[in-house]
Amino acid sequence: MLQRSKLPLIVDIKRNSLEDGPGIRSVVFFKGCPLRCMFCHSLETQEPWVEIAFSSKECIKCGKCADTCPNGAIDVDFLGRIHRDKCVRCGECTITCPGNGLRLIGTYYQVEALTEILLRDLSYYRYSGGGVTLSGGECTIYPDYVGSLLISLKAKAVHIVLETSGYFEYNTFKQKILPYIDLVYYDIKIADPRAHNKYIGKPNQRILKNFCRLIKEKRVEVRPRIPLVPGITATRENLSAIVGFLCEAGADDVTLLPYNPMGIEMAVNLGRQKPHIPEGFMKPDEEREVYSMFRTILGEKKKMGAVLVS
Amino acid sequence: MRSILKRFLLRPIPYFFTDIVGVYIARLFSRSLKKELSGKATDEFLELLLRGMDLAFYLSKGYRKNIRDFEGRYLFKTADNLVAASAIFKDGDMEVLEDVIDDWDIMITFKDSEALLAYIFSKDQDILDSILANDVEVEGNLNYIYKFGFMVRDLAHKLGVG
Amino acid sequence: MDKEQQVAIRDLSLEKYDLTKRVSYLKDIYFRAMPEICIERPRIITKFHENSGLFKKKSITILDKARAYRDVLERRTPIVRHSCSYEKGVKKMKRFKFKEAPLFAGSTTSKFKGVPLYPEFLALALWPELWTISKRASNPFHITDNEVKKLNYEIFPHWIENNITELARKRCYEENLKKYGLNKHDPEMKLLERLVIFLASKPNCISHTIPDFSKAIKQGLRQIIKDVKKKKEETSEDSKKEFYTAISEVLEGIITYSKNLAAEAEKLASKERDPVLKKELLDIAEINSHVPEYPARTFREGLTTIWICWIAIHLENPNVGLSLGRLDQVLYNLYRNDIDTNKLTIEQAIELICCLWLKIGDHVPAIPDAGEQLFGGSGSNQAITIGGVDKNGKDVVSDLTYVMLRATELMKLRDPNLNARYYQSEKSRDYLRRLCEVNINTGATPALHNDKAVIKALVHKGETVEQARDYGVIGCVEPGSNGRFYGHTAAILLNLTSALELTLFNGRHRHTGMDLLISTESGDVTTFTTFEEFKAAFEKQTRWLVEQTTNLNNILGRIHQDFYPTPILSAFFEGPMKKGKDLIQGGAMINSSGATIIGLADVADSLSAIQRVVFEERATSFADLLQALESNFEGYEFLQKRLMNPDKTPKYGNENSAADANVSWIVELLDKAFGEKMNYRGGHYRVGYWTMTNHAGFGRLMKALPNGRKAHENFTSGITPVSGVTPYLTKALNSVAKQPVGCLSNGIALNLKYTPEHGNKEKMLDNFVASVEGYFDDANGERDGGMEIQFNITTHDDFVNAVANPEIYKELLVRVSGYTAYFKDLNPQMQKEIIDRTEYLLSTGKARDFAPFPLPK
Repeated sequence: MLQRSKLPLIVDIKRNSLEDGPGIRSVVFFKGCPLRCMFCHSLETQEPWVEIAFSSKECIKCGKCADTCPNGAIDVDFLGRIHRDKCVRCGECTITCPGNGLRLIGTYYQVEALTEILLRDLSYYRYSGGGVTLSGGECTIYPDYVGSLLISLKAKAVHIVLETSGYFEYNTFKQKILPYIDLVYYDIKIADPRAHNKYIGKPNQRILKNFCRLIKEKRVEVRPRIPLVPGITATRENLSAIVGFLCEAGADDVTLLPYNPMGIEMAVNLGRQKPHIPEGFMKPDEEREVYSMFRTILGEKKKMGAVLVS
Repeated sequence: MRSILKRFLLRPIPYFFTDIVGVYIARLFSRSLKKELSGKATDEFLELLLRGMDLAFYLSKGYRKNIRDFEGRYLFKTADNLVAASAIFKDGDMEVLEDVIDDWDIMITFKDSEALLAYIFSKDQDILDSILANDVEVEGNLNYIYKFGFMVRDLAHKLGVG
Repeated sequence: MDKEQQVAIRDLSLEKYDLTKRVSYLKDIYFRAMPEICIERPRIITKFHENSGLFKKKSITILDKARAYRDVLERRTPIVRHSCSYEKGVKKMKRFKFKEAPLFAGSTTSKFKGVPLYPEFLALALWPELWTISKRASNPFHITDNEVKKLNYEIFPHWIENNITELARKRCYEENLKKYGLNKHDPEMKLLERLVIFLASKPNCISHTIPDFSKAIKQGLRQIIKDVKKKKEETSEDSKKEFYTAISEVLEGIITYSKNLAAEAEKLASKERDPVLKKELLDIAEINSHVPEYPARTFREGLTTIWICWIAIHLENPNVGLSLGRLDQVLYNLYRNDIDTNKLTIEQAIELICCLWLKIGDHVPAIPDAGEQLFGGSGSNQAITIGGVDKNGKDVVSDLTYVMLRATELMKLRDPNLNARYYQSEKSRDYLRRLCEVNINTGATPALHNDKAVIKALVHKGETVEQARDYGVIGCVEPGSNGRFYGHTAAILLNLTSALELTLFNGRHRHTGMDLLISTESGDVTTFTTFEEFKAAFEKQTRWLVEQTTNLNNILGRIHQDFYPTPILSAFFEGPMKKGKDLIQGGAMINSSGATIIGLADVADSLSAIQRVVFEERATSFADLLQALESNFEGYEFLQKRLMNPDKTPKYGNENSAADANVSWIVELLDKAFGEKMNYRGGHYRVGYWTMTNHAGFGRLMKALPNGRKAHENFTSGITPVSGVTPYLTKALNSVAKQPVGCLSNGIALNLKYTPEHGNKEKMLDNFVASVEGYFDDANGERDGGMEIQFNITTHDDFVNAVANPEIYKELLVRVSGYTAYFKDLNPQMQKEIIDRTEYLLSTGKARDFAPFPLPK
């Protein structure tokens, strides 16, 4: 048993997932991330501490939460319900709330308890070629916990996918996590270091370096992905630069992830500033446009490569 | 000429048994009438309906065929016994009584006079609907109810309003 | 010598075979035609009863009945080809003509698509509607004026005092008069007639079983008659002699009927100018003059034998879940022989199966309008079983299995209700994949049964492993050993939410009013201090209901024994022929009766809600909860929200151990309570969880429940968890798969709704197959694994559009809970239930291509 202070928080365990790797999978969303992408579609997983989300869609305005709050932080007539400056995130209101209007984001699981839940679908993993996907947040910031979780999952031969931003300390990662991973989804978001700093909050040297090492060492299958954000990542310059980097690093392929604006609603629910990013999903023709642009970029790279070789 | 006369005489009767009657009465007397038709008034109304059927048997040979070899004793009442009427079919004839008879084949007890009226004014007087709505309790042989249900609609059918 | 079943075809989908012209035409007129009431059988039967004085007898013998059925078989018009039917018109139905050329002669009624009437059972309930039934809004039936008159004057009056319900009522009167001295006292019938507590199917039918046709096919009826005569000579017991004579009578009748069809075909052939049609008629004449009297020589003759015997069975009994068993087993030898000797092509085989499937659906049950409103949309639920293992445990999926699947995929019919057995093993995964593919292509069929779990359940109930392995599916989903099991699996349909209701209100029921003590007092719940006390009260009410329902079922069963012997059905069962004893007297090898439970998930979740909210957390008092239920949660929105929140109130289907344990407790309680009861044939009761449309029907009558469900809303179907408790499919599947199958021996229906997508079909199939495999898996013996699963795979939009435009969607097939139905035939409440089911995705739900782009090197 690990002490609570040593445990990471888990936001959600998604079951029967069909889109986070091969087959039928369970996905663990860790809470806490070293990056601060302004377009993050999973804002709830950024901060490593417990948070409280308010969803107005779920609220029946019963007002019981306001009665319960020890700090008087809740006001039923206030649009965001919680005056965040007064809230100490004790979670009392989330216990009182009859529905999911107020939700406590983040739960502690002992490794054994989490393993037990993840093994409930073992038969589905086996029949579908699926398994467990570690997602976040950034789970590599908890190398000890993740390491022991992976050891117990590997005891049952579970296939493991890691979804990562690549912002980790390579040696620790290599020692504690990498040996148990079967497939890595590695997000490369922005190529230009300054723009990266601006939109992501951290420089990108470490991410790119880690990627190159992973590819070079060939211990695991690595699939790079580019999340599309109109005007930020989905620009010709950025995509072209990323492709250049990937080719140089020796990656086999790259996947484009469609833009997901879910972070906006989450920001509102968490009482944060609404980020200035496009509010809707990309329309099919917008998406087609980006895809065709991307194909053009790939075509140009191919030609260039041919020229260089000759 | 005779058939025209018969149709003329009988035409009002089936109206008491079909969906048109709800609209018809509602138009004439407004909805308040239904409420006033409780207690004694409903009693007379029910009896009137049964007597209407009796009259039809008397007047129409074709319709009379329904009860040629038919024997059956029906008791209609409300739970509080305020409203009661009986119909006895025997020897090719129908007899209507204001009283409660004991040796019924079927006893139909409506929860109250409103439930009875709801049944009479319902679209197709389907007793199963009333049972489902818990408006009525039926004791005895249900087949008599089915037979009665047919005779009601047969009358409407014979007069071209069913 | 039996041939070893094997799969020789390469393409399991048989994709290149399409509907033939003949079948397309037949299918087209089949969907055009409205059902017509047929009075042929009731007319002949009534006359026979009248002339033989059967109406006056204190009981009717099997020989009396056998002669009556022989009379029907011999007198009814042999119809080789139908030529007209009725279709929907602007104001009323209009007649249309056609020229059909089916490959099988004969029909269950005299109409193209008939509604057979059984005045012995519930046909009289249609009496009030005879003039209006062709115009009613839901599922109208055509009837001519002359037929109305015949029914009204000549047929129905004779049965007023003589149908099963009234004979049973008189029996109750007599017994209660003797016991209590009370006049006209029939509390047993009364409880049934409240319609909200339970339904019994014995007033409606003797049905829900599987006859075995292999003897008729292999030996022919003539040989069986010879055997029976010998048995008659060998026995000295009068009852046995009478039984065997009765069997000969009906078998002679069946032979005559087939010969009459042959003669009619020959007559038609002599007038036919078209040489192709003439030849077809002569073929029919030749086949029907040979079978079923003599052994079938070809695949087509085998099918004809089944069809003729199947017709005969309908002349004895209404079809409510009478099922045909393992047809790919019964017919395999003939199929293989014909294929090997080039007498038959796969295309012809598929065409023959398609024609038989259409024939099987040539009648629909008669349901009064009020019944339609509650429980409508059903066919006869004639199940056919394919695949699985044989008596020795060998997997017997064969080419014929795939031929039947292809026919089903092409036809998309409500009846027959196809059920596929699957014995889990690595090498049969292609078969499972094909089953899933047919489900995607038909949207609703076949239902899938987990052989390992089902066999385990049956063995648990005392069947031998060999008997259990040879199970077929009956009616909706109920397993029973072919030709050995007479288990009237739908004898009792218990609304379990009424047990909860009687517990909450101390023996009263809100539907019938608080003044009336319906059952027995189990205590004022507001005085209970522990959940255990509440459970004890619930158990008391449940046991009371089990006592009442089995008691009435036994009374009705004894009425069947006294007035409704079944010689035709008995002729196709192993036990009766050996024992010289009618099926309904206990002649079968296995003699159980079946109950099915409606409202399991709603009741279990209510128990869990009471446990958590009232007793553990004391968040509300029982008095307040009752008040909330009384007011249908008006003014109690907070409590309702809380009760419905799966994160705060344990729910079955969400892998919550407390909630799942309450489900197990209930299924164990019911299995025990029913299992202890003996039926009138000396067998025990079995319990299952499939609800047909009754969860919508009963739901409409019931008030608010402690799980947060509001008044008159649908209950959840079968063993399925309540919609919306989890977005994660595997959680729901795991909660079901861990229930003890020994307690579910009368079958379960787990309804799953997938959203079809235009994505990667292979990937969809991968996930589909893996979900089924994972659900069936016994997790190395840690659980039993799910017994059954069935699907609806139609988009939400299509369902919504089908409500608005039923005519465009007249072939839209859905799984209700157990059987398949046409969506348009369902009442609005049931349509809503299907639309509201939780939808799961087969792939990511994103039509966009996620394929990665290869990078240049």
